[in-house]
Amino acid sequence: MISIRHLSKTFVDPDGSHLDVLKDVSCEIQKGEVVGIIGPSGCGKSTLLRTINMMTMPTSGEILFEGENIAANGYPINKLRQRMGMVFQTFNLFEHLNVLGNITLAPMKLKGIKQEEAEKEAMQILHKVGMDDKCTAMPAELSGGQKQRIAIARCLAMHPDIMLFDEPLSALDPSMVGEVQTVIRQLAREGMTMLIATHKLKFAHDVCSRIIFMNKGQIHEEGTPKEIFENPTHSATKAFVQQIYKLWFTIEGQDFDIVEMHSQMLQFCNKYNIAHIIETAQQIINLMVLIVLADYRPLTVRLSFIEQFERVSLDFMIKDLTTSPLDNNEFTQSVLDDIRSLSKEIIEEPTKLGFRIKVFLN
Amino acid sequence: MKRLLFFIFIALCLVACNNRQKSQSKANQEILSEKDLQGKVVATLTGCSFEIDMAGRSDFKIVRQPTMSDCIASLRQGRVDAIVYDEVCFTEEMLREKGMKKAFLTEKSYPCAFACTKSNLDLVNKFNEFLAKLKSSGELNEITLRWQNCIDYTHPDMPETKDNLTGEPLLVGTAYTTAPISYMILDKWYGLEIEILNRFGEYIGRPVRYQLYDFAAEIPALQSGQIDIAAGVLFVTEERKKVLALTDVYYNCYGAFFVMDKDAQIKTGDPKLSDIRGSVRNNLVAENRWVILARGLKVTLEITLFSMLFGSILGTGLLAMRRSQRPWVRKTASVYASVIRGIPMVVLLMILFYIVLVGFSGIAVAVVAFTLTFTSSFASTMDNALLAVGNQQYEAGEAMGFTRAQIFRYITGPQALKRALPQFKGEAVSLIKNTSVVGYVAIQDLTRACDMIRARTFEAFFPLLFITIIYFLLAWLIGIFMDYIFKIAIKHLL
Repeated sequence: MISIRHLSKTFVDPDGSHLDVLKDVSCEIQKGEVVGIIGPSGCGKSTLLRTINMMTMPTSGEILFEGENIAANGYPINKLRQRMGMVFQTFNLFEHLNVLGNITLAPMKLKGIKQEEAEKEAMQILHKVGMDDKCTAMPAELSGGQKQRIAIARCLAMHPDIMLFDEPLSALDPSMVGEVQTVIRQLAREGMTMLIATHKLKFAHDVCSRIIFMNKGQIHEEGTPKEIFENPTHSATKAFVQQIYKLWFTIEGQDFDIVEMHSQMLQFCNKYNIAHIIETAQQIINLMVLIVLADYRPLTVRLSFIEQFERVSLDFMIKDLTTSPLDNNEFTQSVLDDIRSLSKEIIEEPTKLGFRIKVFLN
Repeated sequence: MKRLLFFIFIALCLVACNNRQKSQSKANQEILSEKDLQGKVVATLTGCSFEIDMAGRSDFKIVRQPTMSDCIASLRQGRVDAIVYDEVCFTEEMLREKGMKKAFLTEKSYPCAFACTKSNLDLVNKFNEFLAKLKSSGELNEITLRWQNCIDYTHPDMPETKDNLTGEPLLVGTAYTTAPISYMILDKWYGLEIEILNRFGEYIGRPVRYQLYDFAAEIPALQSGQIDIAAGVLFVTEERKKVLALTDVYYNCYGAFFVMDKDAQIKTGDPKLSDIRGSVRNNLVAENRWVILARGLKVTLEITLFSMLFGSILGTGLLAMRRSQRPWVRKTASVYASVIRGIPMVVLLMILFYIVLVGFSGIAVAVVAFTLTFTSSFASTMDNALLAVGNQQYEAGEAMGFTRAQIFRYITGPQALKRALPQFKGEAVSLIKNTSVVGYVAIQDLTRACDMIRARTFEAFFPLLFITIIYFLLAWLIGIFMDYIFKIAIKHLL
């Protein structure tokens, strides 16, 4: 349906500096596919989406829609846009019109449908997105989730061939993500061709039939959700899809600032909503650093959080050591037993750089 | 603290100076002759012949006032010591009423003549020929005496002019609205000069049309061809002879110095109800003066509404230029806006009236001038409102396949109008207030109507109060009107 060939986009700032947002991107989108575009912030996924309906003009390359290059000069882009729905992160409902007005404006003005008919159809669409009772509400009276559902309904009223979603869930409260997801899932079931740029990996995994992973303006990897999320081939893909967040400390001598370390850990845990493990983590660190590994310096401590699996682990690494630093004496073993009772599993393993003791907290 | 003390010191100095000035002008002996004027302050009208003649005097200081009622007010408040003006401009009764008296006449008389452009010597010669006949028959003397000796506003019989004159109208400009030389009652002109000019019109078979100007604007109007003859007690001076073609002298004018009459009973204290009633009668009812105000109001409204209408239409065009995708179109629009913003309203009016749109009526020129400014302010107000509506609304429309024009019409335009409404109300009110300068180009708007009443009654307070109230009501009504228009506009756009 759409094939993108060697597409590049360079933004030139007024001061002359260049920013290559898309670098030679090529991909295909088939009818009925739900394609998720994922990647870190600034990787170009929104720009890719916006070039498909020419909201952003590409610098070079072509986009073929049903065999015609829409990036060519003189292509009737407005006619094409009428067949492509676009849902924005910030909803962009027309603030001066009520819900019905928002939905019927384009069919009435662009397709010349009579008001009565347009409103009748709008009511059917509203019913589909579960918003029949809000048909006379103004956008300002709606919650974020409701606004986004109306924005989707507004696109559906034009019977689009393809829908583009630009971060449809990112501006929503967690409590409102569900209702919008349900609507998008329903569209997927009905066979709507969709392109979704999103940060929500679980959503992409569940809804999409194909995933494109972008990084630094290029497509790194694409495949089914299973391939991308469970067996990524690139390390960048892996780090991104598993969403591993890490916090490092290196302890050089005997007297280091343990208070500072704990406060940084607290911030980290709050940031990723894992504050419930902080006490356990602090106890384990105290036991390991001050007792079990008291003689081993420099000692590197790493707190890791894998969002996808919601797994938290602590790594203790000692450089240039090939054998386990854990003694077999009774005292050490009793402390280790304590640690075992606090955690899920302890693994001792030599690595390239030294020796690592990994403690899984859950 | 130091700064505060410094300011207090300055303020005290100013108060002291002010007091000294007042005591200087109040104390000491009465002004009885020209030598008593040493070091005094004398008021007269801006641009009038006396001002031009006496500006160079070293023995006393001339201050300029826009109208005679301002001069009288200054004299009564003691800010000036005397007024110098045409000796016949106040009747005895009026002087008594104001508590003033005529102190003495100027030593010399000033010969007065009419002026034409140098290219129009034909007209000058014809007038001289006519004047010579008038003189030799003794009629000029009779006319002059008749007007000089009229004792109050009720003018002597003005000979009816024939209204079957078929020639091209003879356009006369004057800036002089003081009885008995030349003055207006409603539309009709009366006075010594007027009678002479009317007779001259008959003599050459051309109907005479009069046009009221500011003193400062009269000669430029003559030079730019707006009028054929400049009248209004023009003194014959060397400078004028150089640039203008002057007729023979038809009248010798003596100036008079008017001062406060110390013996007269000056009405002071609170105004009584009867005074107010008298003022209302004098300023509004007598000579149907309210009609002047009503006509002035009509002119003010016409200029305001037409300028707003055309300004909105052209402003939409300018807005499109400001938002054009072509840089040079945007540049043109911004140059236009900064040029218009940089020119004072009065200057713009004069440039249009005397240079660009010569031959158009004053009202047409005023509508053009205010349309130009309203166009600019309409475009910039809407531009700001569109910025406030934001790019997201635009993008939503763009992504749905609307064209730029459709997005403006259905999506961003209505929202911008709603946001811009309060500012437009302000623009409209300031437009109404700005129209008060159109008097410069010979339009009798509300402010000029007030000036004309004041020129006849020499009262400062009541006419000003009336037009203050009228302007205030206008501003209020235009706000309601704008609400209504916007409601319709937004409804219509959807």
